[in-house]
Amino acid sequence: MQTEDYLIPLGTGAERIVDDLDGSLTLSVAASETFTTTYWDTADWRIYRDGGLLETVRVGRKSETLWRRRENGDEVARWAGKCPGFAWDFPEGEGRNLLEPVIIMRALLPMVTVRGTLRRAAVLNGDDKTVARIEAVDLDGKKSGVPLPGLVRILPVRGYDADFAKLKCAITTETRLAKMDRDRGTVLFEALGIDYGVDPNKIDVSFKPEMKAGSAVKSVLLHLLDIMEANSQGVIDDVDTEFLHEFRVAVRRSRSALVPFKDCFQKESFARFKDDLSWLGRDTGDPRDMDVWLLKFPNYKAMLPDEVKPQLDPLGGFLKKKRNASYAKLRRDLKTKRYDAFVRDWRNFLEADGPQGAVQPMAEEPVSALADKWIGKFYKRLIKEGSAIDPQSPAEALHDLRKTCKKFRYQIDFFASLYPKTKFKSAVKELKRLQENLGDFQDLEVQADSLRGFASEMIEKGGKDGEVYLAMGMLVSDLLQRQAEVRKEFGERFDRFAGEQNRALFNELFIDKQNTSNQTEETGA
Amino acid sequence: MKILATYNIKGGVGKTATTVNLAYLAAMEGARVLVWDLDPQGAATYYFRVKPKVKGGAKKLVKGKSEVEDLLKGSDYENLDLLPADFSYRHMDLHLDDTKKPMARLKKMLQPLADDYDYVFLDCPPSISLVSENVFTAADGLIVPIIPTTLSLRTLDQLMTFRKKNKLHKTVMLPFFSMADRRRKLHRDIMDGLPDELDVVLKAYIPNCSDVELMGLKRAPLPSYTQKSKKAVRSYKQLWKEIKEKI
Repeated sequence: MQTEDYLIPLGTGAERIVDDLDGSLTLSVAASETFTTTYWDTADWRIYRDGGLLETVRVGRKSETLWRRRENGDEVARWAGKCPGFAWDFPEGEGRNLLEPVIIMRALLPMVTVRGTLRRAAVLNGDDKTVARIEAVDLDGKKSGVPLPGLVRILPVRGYDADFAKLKCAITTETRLAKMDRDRGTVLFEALGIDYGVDPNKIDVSFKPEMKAGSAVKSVLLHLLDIMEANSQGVIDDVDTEFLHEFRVAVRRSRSALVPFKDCFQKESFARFKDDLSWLGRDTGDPRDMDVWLLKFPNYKAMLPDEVKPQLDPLGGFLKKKRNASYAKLRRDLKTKRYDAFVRDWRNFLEADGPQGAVQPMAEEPVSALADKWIGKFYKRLIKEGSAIDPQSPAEALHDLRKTCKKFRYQIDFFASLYPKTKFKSAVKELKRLQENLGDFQDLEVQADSLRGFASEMIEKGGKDGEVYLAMGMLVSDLLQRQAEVRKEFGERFDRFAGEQNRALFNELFIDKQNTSNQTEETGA
Repeated sequence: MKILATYNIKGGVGKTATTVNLAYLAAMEGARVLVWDLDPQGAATYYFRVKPKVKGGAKKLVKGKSEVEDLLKGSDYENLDLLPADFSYRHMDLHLDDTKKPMARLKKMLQPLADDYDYVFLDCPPSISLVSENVFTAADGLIVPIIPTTLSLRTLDQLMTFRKKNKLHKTVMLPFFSMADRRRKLHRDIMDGLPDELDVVLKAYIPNCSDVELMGLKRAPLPSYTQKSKKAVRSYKQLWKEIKEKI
């Protein structure tokens, strides 16, 4: 037997429903209580997308935070008091352990707050024993300006299945309420017209192969601009580190999307925006690096022997100060006229229907031609660069390959919707493994270099705690050792990516098609 | 899951009232609580307004032929369930004796519920029998209400000796004074002059008062219908606090 929810039609109060049931069942109705419910989620709805709802219910002075599964209302965890800001702020325990992997480093934000009145009633048997429960809720729509539907929840009491069945029957016959087919959070979000459960940072553009290349590339860039705008305020308010991360990724992706863009529009027409994007790319670099350092700080500490761990703490303080300084600069820049003008003008440029700027002939071609061209081009470049790397090659060769990989990856991500899903997924699988290896290789080097830089800076600023430098030295040596191990794995990863099977898949998806279409064109000519 | 048994060889010492009130207080704190009314008289079951009936009776339950989960009843209070009494429990000894490991049977029966409850309160019948020996083996804590009289202290002493002899060291002894009337000299003298060997007696005690007696009329735990400020309610709260610290 499970809890069931029924929707009260607009205009019918919860009180009337309880009165209707009181005739056919023996009810003990408690005095009604007013409550406030706040639904919490991350900016990208991680809890909702994970199938849950997190709500804080306040009755009088008492607040309780509940995490439930949407599909059946089962409780995942419950905490006394208000909802804290981050997973790590929750009290230690099973609930927090379950929450951490869902929201990771994201802040919990109040998505919706509603007030309401709750009427509780107990269904009694001949011994005046509670055998089922009713909770009837009226929601106050005054603040939101839209009428909100009430609901009736019926709850079974263990061991009294027959009585619960009777109550269900009474709900149907006496009140004619319809059982809710969705959870109450979703019903409420819909009634309020909230764009719920969507990850605003997911590029969700779908192209038809015959779509014109110019509009297709514009739509990708528009989407990326939306992501920047969706995250900029979170960066300014410093809500959590993911706002900057998503903002920066959108900037970098935009810069990569300009590569095929120049085939469709003359360079001069968007040169200004290219400069602005480079400016934002530079501006977000330091703050993001500092965020990553601080997020990984506990891991760095864990790499050291126990007795050395506390010696690293001054570095933590140094990083925090550095982060604050770099964020302050970024915040100032995001509030400048230059940034406002960029967002406004770039949007106007991308939204303009007609041929704005000088349109190149490619803009009128089908998007698939543009996609094949650039994916094919980067793929060949990647194979060439990767094949030239041997164990003696300098680290720069791997760094360059990483950049090419990234550009290639961005291109194929933009155009993903043009290709068969399964084949595309398996083609990308080995690329991801290769990228991980190259990413680790570079990150470890950058981290070791940064640590050396931080040490110099700390000394310059008068840092006298010698032990921290010893701890940092141990870290550098550990990081470089790991880097050497990662380097050893490169050959195997690249061989798998460039291997016969994977190459055939890439050829089939992107290259051969291009040759065929070229041949067709030639034949046609 | 912690198992707490309320036990005394003597009847009428406030055993069932203790079980019901402590279980209620634990549940109100948010703990998931089960009360198993092992007493065929079914007083705890009566307090919770549940019918004293277990499908299949003691025999099927002890033999493992009934799923314990299917026999549970929800109480009127959130997080608080009951495994009701049944008149057939009067033969539980016989059925336990028929099993392979009669002393550990009760503990085994509760195993499937380990993840469902934080506390299981066993309300035991007033006797020394195979059922009580099972209870001693299963319980993490033995809550023993004692009326402050010389004879009651002697019973406690006997119980301590039994525990020692049977090497039940893991079971924490939780005796406390019940139905205590500090206006009476005898009660006062006994409570204030406990011998060293009985220093296990908890500091909290439950006064003898009409509020507790009303439970039978109200058929509900005392804190559910009495003001928080009443002495009896405060006493049960103190008792529960002290028990939690000991287990």
